[in-house]
Amino acid sequence: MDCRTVEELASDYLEGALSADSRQAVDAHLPTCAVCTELLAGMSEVLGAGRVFPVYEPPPWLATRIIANTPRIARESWADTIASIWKWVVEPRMAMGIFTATLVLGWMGSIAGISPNWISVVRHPSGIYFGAHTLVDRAYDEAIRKYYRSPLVTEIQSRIEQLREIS
Amino acid sequence: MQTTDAELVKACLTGDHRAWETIVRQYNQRIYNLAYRFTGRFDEAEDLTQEIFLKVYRTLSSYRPESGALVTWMVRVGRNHMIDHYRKFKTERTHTESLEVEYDKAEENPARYSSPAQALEQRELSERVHRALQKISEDLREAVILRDLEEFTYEEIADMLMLPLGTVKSRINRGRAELARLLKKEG
Repeated sequence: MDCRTVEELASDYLEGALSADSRQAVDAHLPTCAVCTELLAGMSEVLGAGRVFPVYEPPPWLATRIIANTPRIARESWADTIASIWKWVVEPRMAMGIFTATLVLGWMGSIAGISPNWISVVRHPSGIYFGAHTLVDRAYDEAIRKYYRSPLVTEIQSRIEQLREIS
Repeated sequence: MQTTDAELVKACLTGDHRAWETIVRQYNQRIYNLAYRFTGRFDEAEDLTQEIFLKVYRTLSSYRPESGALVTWMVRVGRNHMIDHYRKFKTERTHTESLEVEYDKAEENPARYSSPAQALEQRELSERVHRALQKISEDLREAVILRDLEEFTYEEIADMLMLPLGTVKSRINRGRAELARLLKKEG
């Protein structure tokens, strides 16, 4: 074992965390190397100093000062959270984004034939539900109509009729 | 019945100021000593202790009892705060000049000695180690302080510093070796 390896293993050696083989190898190296022996003695002294390092009492007023200086309400309440979200919404960039998105959605809606009557929506919010209901009904009827009028379905129906007549 | 860390934190989060008072009184010595060991100055340690506790209070909701003891989490918060503090005031630090004054002040603080002769011997040894600690790099110093002075396990230190266990072990070993060389040089 060389000096570099001994230095790498020094803490494990001093803390008794080395395997038996490695410990034997270090033990065999130490009597032949004054530098490593001195290093390990020094490291052992450092370890010992850590154990006897004085523990100081903080000044008695310190805890009182900390407690007195701790703000009573430092954490966020629900009102703070809502206020912070509102602040975020009214930020120029966010407001511009919402405005642009509304404009684009309105434009796409007008192309698709959806144009809500805002005055009636405000007067009768339930109209949103009934309006959506009518829209879905209409879309369903249209889909059914298209299905029965499609050439493929018509062809299949006529074949079934022919088969019935044959039988 | 003793209140657990988790209960104390929970009470504190619901606005119970007495719970916070208990936390401060229970851990202020630990944080004060940690700050002193990092800075080597009592006045700086007092200010840092207060700053660390206020930071702990502000971030208390991020403490997870299942991830370890409250003191471990507090030491991690403290360590991060002290590193920020070091970076801000690196140029103003004059530890070696003030150590004598600091140790005179330490006399006023009753450290835990068993006899006067032993106290003198221990004081001399810890003074030498403390001087040497201020001379080694920040990475090695914090690893050695957490292990040898604060007596955290290697796993706890790895968790605190968010480093692999191998790196922590290597830093502690290198730190001890550097300290040993510095002590030898000092004679």
